[in-house]
This record gives sequence, C-alpha cells and structure tokens, in this order.
Amino acid sequence: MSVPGDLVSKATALRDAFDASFALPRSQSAAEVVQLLAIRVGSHRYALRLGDLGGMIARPTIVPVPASAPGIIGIAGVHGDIVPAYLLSSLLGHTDDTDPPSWMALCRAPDVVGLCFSGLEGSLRPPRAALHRAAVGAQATAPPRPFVTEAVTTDAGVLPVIAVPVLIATIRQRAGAAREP
Amino acid sequence: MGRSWTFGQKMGAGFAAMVLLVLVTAGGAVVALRSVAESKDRVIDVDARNRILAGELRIAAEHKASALRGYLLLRDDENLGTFRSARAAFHEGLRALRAQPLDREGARLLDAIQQAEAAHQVECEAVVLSRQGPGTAESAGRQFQDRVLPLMVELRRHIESFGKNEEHELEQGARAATDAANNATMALVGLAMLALLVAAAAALALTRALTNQVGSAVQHIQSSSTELQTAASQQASGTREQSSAMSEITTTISELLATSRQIAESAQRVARIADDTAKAARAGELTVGKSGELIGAIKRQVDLIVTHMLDLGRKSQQIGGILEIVNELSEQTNILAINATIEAAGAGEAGRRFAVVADEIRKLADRVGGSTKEIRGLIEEIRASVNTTVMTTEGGTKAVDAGTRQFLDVAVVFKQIVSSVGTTTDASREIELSTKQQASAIEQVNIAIANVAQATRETEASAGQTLQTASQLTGLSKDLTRLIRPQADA
Repeated sequence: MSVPGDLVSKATALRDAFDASFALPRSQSAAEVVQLLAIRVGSHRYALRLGDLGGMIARPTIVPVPASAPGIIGIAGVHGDIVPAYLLSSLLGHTDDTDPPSWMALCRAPDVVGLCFSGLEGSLRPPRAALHRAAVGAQATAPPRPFVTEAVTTDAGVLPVIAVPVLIATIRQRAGAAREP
Repeated sequence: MGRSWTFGQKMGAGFAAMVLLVLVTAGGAVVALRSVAESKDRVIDVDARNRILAGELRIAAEHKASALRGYLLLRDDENLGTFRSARAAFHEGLRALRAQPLDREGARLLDAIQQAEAAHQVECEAVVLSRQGPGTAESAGRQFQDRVLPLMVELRRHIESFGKNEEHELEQGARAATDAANNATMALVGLAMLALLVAAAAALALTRALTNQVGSAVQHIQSSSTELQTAASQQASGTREQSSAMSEITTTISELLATSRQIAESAQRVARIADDTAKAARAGELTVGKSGELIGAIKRQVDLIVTHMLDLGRKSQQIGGILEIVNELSEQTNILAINATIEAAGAGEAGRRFAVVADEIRKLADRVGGSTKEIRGLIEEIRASVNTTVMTTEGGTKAVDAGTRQFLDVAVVFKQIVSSVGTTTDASREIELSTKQQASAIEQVNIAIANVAQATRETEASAGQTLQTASQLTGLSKDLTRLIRPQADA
C-alpha cells in the first residue's frame, strides 16, 4: 500500500524544518522578542506574558469554596500547594464566558494565584517592536480595560496583553478589603 | 254523505220522496173528502131527514085533524079510520124522530110535541065519543072548535118550532159542511203547495247533486282521457323510437354477428400463439433458474465484502483510538513545552537556550497535534466511506436478496405463465366454440328482434288507434260537460 505524495512531501518538509532548526543560526535574542501566550476568554482573545506566569495546568480540578472575594471560584491543588482559582473573565468584566474553565495559568507573585480561562490558542514570539501601548478609551463604546496596558500586533490581528502584576495587585487589594470587617 | 250515494240511489231517493209526497197529498185529500162527505152525510141523513120527518109530523097532524073534521061532519068510519091511521102515522114519525140523533132543544120540542099530541088526542077522542052519541054535528063542531082546535094550534106551534129548530140545524150542518169542504180544500191546496215546494227542493238538490257528481265524473273522464291521450301520444312516440331502436339493434346485431365470426377466427389465432408462448415460457423458466444460481453466487461475494468492510470499520475505530492517545500525548507535550518555556523565562538568560529547545518541542507538539487532526479527519472520512460502503453493500445484499426472491417469483410466474398459457389455449378453443354458438344465438336473436319489430309496428298502430279513441273520448267528455254545465262552456 503506497503513501500519498502530498503526505510524503509534508513529512519531508517537517524533517527539513527540524534539521534546519539545528543548522540555522539563532535568529533573535531574548531582548529582541517577547514571549506571549495567546488565550481565549469567552469570545475575547488576549495575550499573557510568559514572564508573568509560573506554569500552565490543563483541566484543573477546582473545589468550590464559600468566599466573598470578587472573581474567586474555588481552590486547586498544585504540586502540594493550595492555590486560589480566579475566573479571568469575571476579573476582566466579561459576562459572556459561559464555558467551563479548561486552563489555569499560575501567576508568579508572593502568593501563587490561579487564573482560569476557557481556551489556549498557542505561544507567540513577536518582535518587541510589535508591542505597543493599548489605545485606552479609543472607542467610546468599548468597556474600560484597567488591566490591559499593552497590545501586540500579530498576523491574526491585535491582541490586548493582560498586565498580570496589576491584576494580582488588584486581587490582593480586593481580598484584603473583603477580609476587613 | 250525499257524495257516497250512487247515482241510482239518489234517483231512487228522489222518486221515493216524490211518491211519498203524492201519498201524503192523496191521504190528505182522502181524509178531507171523507170529512166533507161525513159532514154532508150528517146534513143529509140527520138534519134533512129530521126536517122531512117534522114535515111528515105536520102532515100527519093535519090529516088527523082533517079526518076528525070529516068524521064530525059525516060520522063515518072511513074518516074515523083515517083519523086512526093518521095518528098511527104521527106516532110512527115520532118514533122515527126518536131514533134520529137530536140536540137537547130538538128532544125537548119533540117531548112537547108528544105531550101536545096526547092532549089533542084526548080531546079528539072526547069529540069522537060525543059525535058517536046522540049529540049533533053542531055541538060536536062547537066542541071541536072550543076544545080541540086550540090544542091543534098548540100542536102546530110545537111542530113548527121543531121544524124551525131542525131547519136551523140543517142550515148549521150545511154551513159546517161547507166550512169543512173549504178547510179541506185549503188543506189540500196547502198540502199540494208544500208537496210542490218539497218536490222542487228535492229536484233542485237532486239536480245539483247529480250535476256535481256527474260533472266531477265527467271532469275525471276528461282528465283521464287527456292523460290517456298524452300517454297514447307518448306511447306512439316511444313505439316509433322503439321501432327505430329495433332497426338499429338489428343492424348492430348484424355487426355483432360479423364480429363474433371475427372473434372465432381470432380465438383460433390466439390458441396458436398460446402454444408458441408456452414453449417460450418453458425456455424462460430454464433461463431464470440459471440466473438464480448466478445471483446466489453474487450474494455470497457481497456478504464477504460486507464482512471485510465491517472489519475495516473496526480497524479504523482502533486507529482513531490510538490517534486519540497520540493527540493527548501531543497536547501534554505542548503543555510541558509551555511550562518549560515558562520555567526557562523565569531562569533569565541562563534558561534562554533551554527556552529555545522547549519552544522547538512546543512547535513539534503543535505539528503533531495538527497531524493528528488531519489523521483524525482522514480516519473519519475512511469510517464514513466504510459506513457508506457497508450500507451500499447491505443495500446491494438486500437488492440481491430481492432479486433472488424476484427470480424465484419470476420462476413461479413462468410456471404460472406456462399453466396460464395452457389455460389460455383451452379458453381460446372454448371461446371459439362459444363464439360460434353465440353467432347462432345472435341469428336467432336477430329473428326474434324482427318479430319484436313487427310487434312494435303493430303496437304503434294500436297506439295511434288509442290516441284517436282518447281524442274522441275527450270530445265526448267535453260535450257531456256542456250538457250538464252549459255555463262551463261559456
């Protein structure tokens, strides 16, 4: 039984690309590119800086707990630690995310926090020049996005980049306000 | 109630009423005549006779007085005998009057007459004795003059009174008889008028009843005759149409006869063709048997194909399961690569090379994921094709089964055809024979139709006569209507 020609050529291209990755010089340094992770929150696409994250967990097991902090949906066990899980769509103010969270991003902070969202679209390595400040209030009808200060231009369009440290600080602030009598 | 009486009963009742009226009138006349006759008989038999007897009494008294005078003059026996016989006649008259019916006044006067006559007789006897003695005629005459004559005058006066009384009775009787006759006449006239009125009323009622009854009957006759005329016209028209139809039927039957002969010839040809068809059907039966065997072989091959295709479907499902494992491994590799990249990014410059390797691993995992998606699509296409092939093959199996059954049916049908063709041959021969018999029967029917046509023509003539008779009956009924109801004609 013979293999179709297009599959053979595709396998050859994959092998060549793999071999070339060892032969070609390193094109760009870490200073020239920025490593992002493209995610989907409901029907909205965002990007996260890999430097802001401590890990990715697929299909996290979240145990609901009674809590009054905004956006918290429960706790999850990660490498022996108990991590609070927040729903990213709730923190960003999107109400159309009805899908169950399939991914949880662990954030580097004094305390590890899990940000849950519905879809992971892949990694991005755009040049740093593609990163620019987000046009806050460019559109009068657009909702306010306090956690988005930058955006990156890709082949698929412009992706807002979530400022994870600001988001974590806001969570801590809200959690502290919720604990005060 | 009068409507239920017959004509004869009404006529009989009318004549009976008239006879009854005549009898009543005659009876009344008889009664009246008898009453008048009785009145007249009483006048004649009683009053007139009393009057006559009174006259006879007067005559007898006068004879007695005259005989006494004669005796006194002549003193002979003849006058004395006359005197005696006159007195006897006088008493005879009295007895006759006593025998007659008298009223109270008549009876009283008759008693007075009898007493006066007795007194007169005593004096007469005394005068007779005086005359028979030595006395003279003159002394006897003076005695007669003094003693007998006053009594005679008294007797005459009583007789006169009696006569007047009887005359008065006679006049009253005659007047009563006249009144009775007049009353009888008036009664008869009234009865006759009544009978005339009743007869006129009966005649009028009878005339009206009979006129109505006869008129109604005549109207019915007229109506019936009109209907009969219409029916006769329709019958004549229908008979003409029937005669025309009979002609057409005769023509059609002639054509039918010719057609029957053609059918007989066709039946012969059908019998020959049926023989040929039976031979062809037997050959077809053999061919169908061979085709059935071939179809059985095809069915077995198709069953084998279905088995292989189902096995291929199961293998495709197993490949799909393995592919799911590969996809899961690629996703996990991708996650590990992402986490490795994150760890490398956290390591700073030291992890940069590791980050590059991790990124290559991630790209490879992405490619594996894309390839598994393509393989999944291909497997889905294979499974869809297998399913389509299996369904198509199963459809082919069913078609082969249906074809096998149909071939069996065809074989049975061919056997039936052979049998039916044999039956057709027999039937064609029977049709030929029957058609010949039918042709013979049609000829007989043609003759019968000719007879019926003749009868129809006769019926047509009869219908014409009936129509003429109905017309005459209509005219007669109209004439009769004019006779009993002249105003109806106006």
